[in-house]
Amino acid sequence: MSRKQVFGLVLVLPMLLLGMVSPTVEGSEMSLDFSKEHTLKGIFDAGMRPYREPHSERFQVGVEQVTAEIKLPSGMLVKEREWQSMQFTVVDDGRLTSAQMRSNPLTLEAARDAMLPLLSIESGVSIQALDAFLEKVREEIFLYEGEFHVGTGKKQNPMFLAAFSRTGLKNSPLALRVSLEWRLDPPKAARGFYKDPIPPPPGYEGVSMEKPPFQAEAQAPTPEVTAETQAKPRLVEEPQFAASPTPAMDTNKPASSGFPVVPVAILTAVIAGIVIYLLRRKFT
Amino acid sequence: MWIVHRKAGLFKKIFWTLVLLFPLFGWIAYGAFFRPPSYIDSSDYNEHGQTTGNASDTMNVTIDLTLNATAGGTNYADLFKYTVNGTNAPSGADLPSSGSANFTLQYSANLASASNYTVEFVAINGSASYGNMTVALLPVEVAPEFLKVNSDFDEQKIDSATGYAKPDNADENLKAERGDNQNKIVTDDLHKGFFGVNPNTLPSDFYTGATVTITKKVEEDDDTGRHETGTIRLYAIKDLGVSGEQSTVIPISTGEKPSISSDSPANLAATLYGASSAIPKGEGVTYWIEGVDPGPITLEFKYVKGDLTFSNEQKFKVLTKQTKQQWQEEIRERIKLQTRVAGDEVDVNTHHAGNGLSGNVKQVKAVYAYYQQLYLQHENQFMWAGMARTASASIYAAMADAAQPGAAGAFVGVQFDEVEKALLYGQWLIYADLGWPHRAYEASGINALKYVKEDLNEDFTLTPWTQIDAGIAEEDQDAINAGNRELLRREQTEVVLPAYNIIRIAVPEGWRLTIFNWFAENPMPGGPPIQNVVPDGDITNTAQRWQWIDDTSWGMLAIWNGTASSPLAPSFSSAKRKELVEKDLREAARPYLNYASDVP
Repeated sequence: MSRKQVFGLVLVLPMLLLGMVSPTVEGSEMSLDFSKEHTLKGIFDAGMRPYREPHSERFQVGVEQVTAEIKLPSGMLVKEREWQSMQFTVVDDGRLTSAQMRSNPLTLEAARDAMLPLLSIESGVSIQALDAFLEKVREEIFLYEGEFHVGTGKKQNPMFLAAFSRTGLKNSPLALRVSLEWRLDPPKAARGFYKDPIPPPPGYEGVSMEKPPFQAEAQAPTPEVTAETQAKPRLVEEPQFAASPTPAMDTNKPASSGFPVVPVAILTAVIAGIVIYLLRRKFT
Repeated sequence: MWIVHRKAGLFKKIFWTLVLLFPLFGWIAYGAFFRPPSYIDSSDYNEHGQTTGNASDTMNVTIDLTLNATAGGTNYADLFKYTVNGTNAPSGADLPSSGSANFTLQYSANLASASNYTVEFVAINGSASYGNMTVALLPVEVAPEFLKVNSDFDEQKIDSATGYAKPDNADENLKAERGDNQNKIVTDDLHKGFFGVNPNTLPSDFYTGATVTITKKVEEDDDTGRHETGTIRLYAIKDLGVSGEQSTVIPISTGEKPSISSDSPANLAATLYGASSAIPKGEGVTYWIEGVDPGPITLEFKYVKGDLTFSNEQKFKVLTKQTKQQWQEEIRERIKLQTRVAGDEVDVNTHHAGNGLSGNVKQVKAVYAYYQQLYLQHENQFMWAGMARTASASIYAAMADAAQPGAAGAFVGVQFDEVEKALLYGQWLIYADLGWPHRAYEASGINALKYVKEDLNEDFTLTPWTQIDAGIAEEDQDAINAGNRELLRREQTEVVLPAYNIIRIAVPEGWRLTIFNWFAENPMPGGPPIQNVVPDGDITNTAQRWQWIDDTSWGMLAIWNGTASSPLAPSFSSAKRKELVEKDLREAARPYLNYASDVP
């Protein structure tokens, strides 16, 4: 190995090591980082182009069909996924007071994977409770009230809630619903809605915030359950106000490791390549 | 190393390079990612614990009064003169006087009534003692931190004009009108106690020539920036030897009467405390506080007689802290009461989709009547409820069509019994999800919903309600409409989906266009059918259905809110909305029937 090659190796290796712990997630389309601020500008900065919600132009913007991860001030990361829709409520200083997100339809397995890392936000909610709910969905038992959800309540700002919604699709029967609601400081600012339609934030003045025309074929898939593929749906027997799935005491917290698989794989491949190269040089 | 030890082996050099670089990497990672542990800001310590000035000087002092007396939740305020028996002690000074040092008056005993007590007067640094001090302490009663809004229906009163139940806080009469407690005083949701000096505490001559007031102070609600909205009433109840017999209600209220008003509080010295007071006191008399209007409130009790003045101020919340299930139960009881008085009691909790429409007619009507009542009692505010009641005509007709025994013969393969159950199921899902927040807000305001969301962690979104609340307070109809739209979005894109799922299963592919498109008439009378707004649209498709609702030109929401711009769609005025909501359900449903000859 020449001296030049060795120096190159010395320079490359630390860079690869640093890349291994970079907060950037490989392949992420967008990252909504609420860990430092929660503003309309932040939505634009993430690459989204929200439109003003019809009938709610002074209060709310929305986006549809985006792929994004969400970072929260608590350090929690809602991993990258495809979101069918997002709605953000905005006050007149550009801050967000709420964000409501609904994922694209998920298979039962994907729904379980999505909810598992979030179980730890509420004490007393167990994997068994989650699995019991998923089993009801699998068997197409519809509850009269109380689908599965976990949340922080006021223990965190923003309040975080994750829940499932039924989609009506046979193979992907659930959607993940995530809700964030901020308590503003000072609280009285919460009343300061825009007097006119929400304007684009600084730096995006020329960007249109009009909702694009509705295109039926571009929308989320229609429920595709059919009589021949379905067992007869069953309602629970009692129409009483059923409580949410009863939380058990045992809490397992298989939190998301956040292990940077891609950088480590690249690094491993590079090092392996170097080693093989050197070995070949040594023995040939 | 690569220069000095250039002859060293390559692997050795790489190895030591990595070893040496790891600290560098660690340093970078530390700077970038290390988070210091959180800490508790303990700066909010008790200022009274600090000693300033020279405590060994004469007793010309400022007394920073802290009374550490917790006698069964009763606080004590200072009263006029005191005497300190000690070296250099002044006498006959008022509390507080002026001076150069701070002291803490430490007191720990249970005061049963006002009297003279000997209190040890100690310098906080312990270096000087001024012996014992005789001071008269006055028991002052306070309200609880959270005073329940007395807005349920224990008194079972009905407004004869509307047939609607009157909440218990609607008037000052505490006697039940019907039920097991008929003609008895109901104090279930009142706080037993008084605000200020209990009239039974001191002799009446103490009040001769005095002015005693209870004032609702004009303060700002920290959460909203608007004026505090809470109000209360005070009651005296005398045991007349007849169970539940009510003697007198203290003529004190906020809003209706001037006794506790902010700008002209009445002098209560004669009517409440005097020797011949109109309001009873003494043995057998108890006092009660009722939460009337929800929200924070700041009350001040004040006594003025010559140079002598003392007061006690308290900020608390008039708020009902109930679970979602308790609010649902309250609706259930109100519906039972109203329907019982009307002649046919309905328990909505007996609603069960499996029983079909014939087994649920009363329950279905009761739920829709609930929406009707919500809107009529909160016109142009509970817009979702009004829209739901208006739309119920088409749903009720669809239930009747699906329940028609011959319907299956006309549409071969369609499981109409399942459609019927799904429609009933959907109605219940909506009621269970969206019915109770309306009752909680109506009864106890936005803070009742905050409690359910923030403390009990229920699955619902607070934001629409804060928009509605702000809109009502600031007369901003756009904000009200925006909040109601979010409720509608939740209903249509989340809550009702399981029911639509069942309907899709029950209708074969061949009939879908017919049933989900052609028969899909607009629930807003005069509005365009779905195929006009979404060509080939399918009401069981969430996105297409929502477009039918949300289109700004001629969608249902634009029609309902009165903002539709299309010449091909109506745009409802406030009067039109009321007319539609008031309309009899059967009469409103008949035009929507496709197969059945009538609705039950």
